[in-house]
Amino acid sequence: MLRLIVSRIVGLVPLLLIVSILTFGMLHLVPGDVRERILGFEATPEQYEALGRQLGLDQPFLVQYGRWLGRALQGDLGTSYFNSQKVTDAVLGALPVTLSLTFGGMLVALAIGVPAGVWAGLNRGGRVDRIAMFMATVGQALPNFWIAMLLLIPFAIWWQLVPATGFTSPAESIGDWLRSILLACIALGTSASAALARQTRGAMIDVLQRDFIRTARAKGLSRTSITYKHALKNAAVPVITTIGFQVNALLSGALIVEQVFGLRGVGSLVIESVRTQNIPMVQGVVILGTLVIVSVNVLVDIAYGWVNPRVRAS
Amino acid sequence: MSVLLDVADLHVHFTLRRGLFGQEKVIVRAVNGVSFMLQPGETLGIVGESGSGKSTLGRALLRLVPATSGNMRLDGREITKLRGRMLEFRRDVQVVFQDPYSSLNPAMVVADIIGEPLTLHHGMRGAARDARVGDLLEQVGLGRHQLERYPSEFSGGQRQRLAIARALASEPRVIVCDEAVSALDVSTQSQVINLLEDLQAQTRVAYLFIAHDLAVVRHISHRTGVMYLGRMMELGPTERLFEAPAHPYTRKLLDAVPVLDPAVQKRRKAARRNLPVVELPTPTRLPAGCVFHTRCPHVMDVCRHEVPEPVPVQGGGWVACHLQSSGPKLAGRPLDALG
Repeated sequence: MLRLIVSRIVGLVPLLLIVSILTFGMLHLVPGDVRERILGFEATPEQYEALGRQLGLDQPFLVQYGRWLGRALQGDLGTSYFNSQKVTDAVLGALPVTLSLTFGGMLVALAIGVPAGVWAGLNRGGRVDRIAMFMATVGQALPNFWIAMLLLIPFAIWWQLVPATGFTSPAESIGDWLRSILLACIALGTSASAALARQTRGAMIDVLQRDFIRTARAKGLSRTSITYKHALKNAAVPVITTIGFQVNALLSGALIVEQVFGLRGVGSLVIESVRTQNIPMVQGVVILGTLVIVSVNVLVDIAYGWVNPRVRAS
Repeated sequence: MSVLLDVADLHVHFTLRRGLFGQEKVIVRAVNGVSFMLQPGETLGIVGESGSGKSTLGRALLRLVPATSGNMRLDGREITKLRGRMLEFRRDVQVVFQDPYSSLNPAMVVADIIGEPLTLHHGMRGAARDARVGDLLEQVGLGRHQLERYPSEFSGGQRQRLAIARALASEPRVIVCDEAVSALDVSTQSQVINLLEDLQAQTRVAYLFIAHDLAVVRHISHRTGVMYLGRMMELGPTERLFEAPAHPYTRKLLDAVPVLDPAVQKRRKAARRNLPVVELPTPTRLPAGCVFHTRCPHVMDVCRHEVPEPVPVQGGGWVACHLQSSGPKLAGRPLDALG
């Protein structure tokens, strides 16, 4: 288990290098000149030259990348082109919003998707199953930003149960924090819960057909014991895989949904930065985002080991 | 003779829904009027081709699928209509399935796999339970210090031994062995069969031994029943049935086993090529009369209309065939008497 974690962390190094080279390269291919955006059109060529030297833009691509990498290794991801804000500060300031939405959305998805899937799988072909799978199809088909708007109208505008926009930090007030992200989490979790319900149902049906379930019935074990002691843990493996995928999907979904609710998270930051060619900022977001996603995948691998002894042994 | 298990006219039918909206109902007669008895300490082999209903028979006996009609009695107690968890019945009738990979929960350790029936039926827990699991492991020829190992750490043959130990744990009267050795390689097969025989000598447990491998069934079974399309065609002492089959289907089934002599095997193959090509009937569309009449080389008019009644056979057992009763009246003599 420890070896697994260590090897995943070691594997992270080349991955981060590749990701950083790719984003750095792509941002250089974007047409337009960032100096124009900073100085405006009226600046003199001398001012352009000076700014270029100051930002290091006069150097060849590899030198620019090398400089960035050297600082990044010391924990300095650079400074915004437009104000003196540190990239790490900007990203870490926006991250709580996005992570709140991502994990809140995951909780919603787990709370709806897993029980619905287990129930549908236990009653395969029955009414519960058909209703659940119909709802899952609808849930997967609806775009999350549209669900977000549908939720906003009654809950935030008509009845004003929750604020329509804005984020409250959990450090200020847990209740207000929950109210500020609740609708967004539901909007995000809906499609993930649909995918989870499908996977859980399939996994349950697969496990329930195996002979050890038949044997458990022949032993006289109650239906509840069979479900909890024999079926769920074995059905969990494909479900955990799906959870891993869904965290990534939720993270990117959060970037869009936070726009609908006017939550200033990583989504707003990255869209603003790409629009203004704020290269250090985009680079920082991508690198830290990669770190978050890879950490989630390591957690998924650890969870695998817990439900599947064969992984643990190897 | 004491009777442990008495099955009378058992039917197991399934309803399939076909068509776009499931409007068309098709009835599959998987087991269609089967009767037999089982004595304590006896092994009854059940043979037949795929789809003959032999596995469904085993599952109906385990009450894993509901019987459509008919009766099953265990020690004189009616077990067909039991409801709820039927713990007492569950303790008495256990099962060993074919696939030793799918039949053991991969997320449980040996102590829990074998210990679960001990807790359930005998209320054993903790150290007492572990000690009993150790005894059972030794009984099936595995070391007693494997309690904390997972099924994936065992070979196929060892896993089947674990499945047998689990079946033995509740101290059952009957074990249904559904193709219990078919997935094992030949040397492991013989070890497991010897184990089953030893355990029977020790515990007087009865086996319903379902298999398609005739050599294995001949070796282990005291009596053998032959099933075809949900019906028992012939049932009798194993040696008599294999040496002097009384039903044309039994004959054909035995002839399908390859023989070691290449010359004989060649003649048989040639003879088989001359057989008429017929569409095989299925349990959804059973032939009228004797279910075997579409493939029977001795078919008579009466076979197409009337279901043959079982008649006794010389040397023991019974057969359901018109040749034995209303046709040439073999009257219990072996089929070879036809000449």
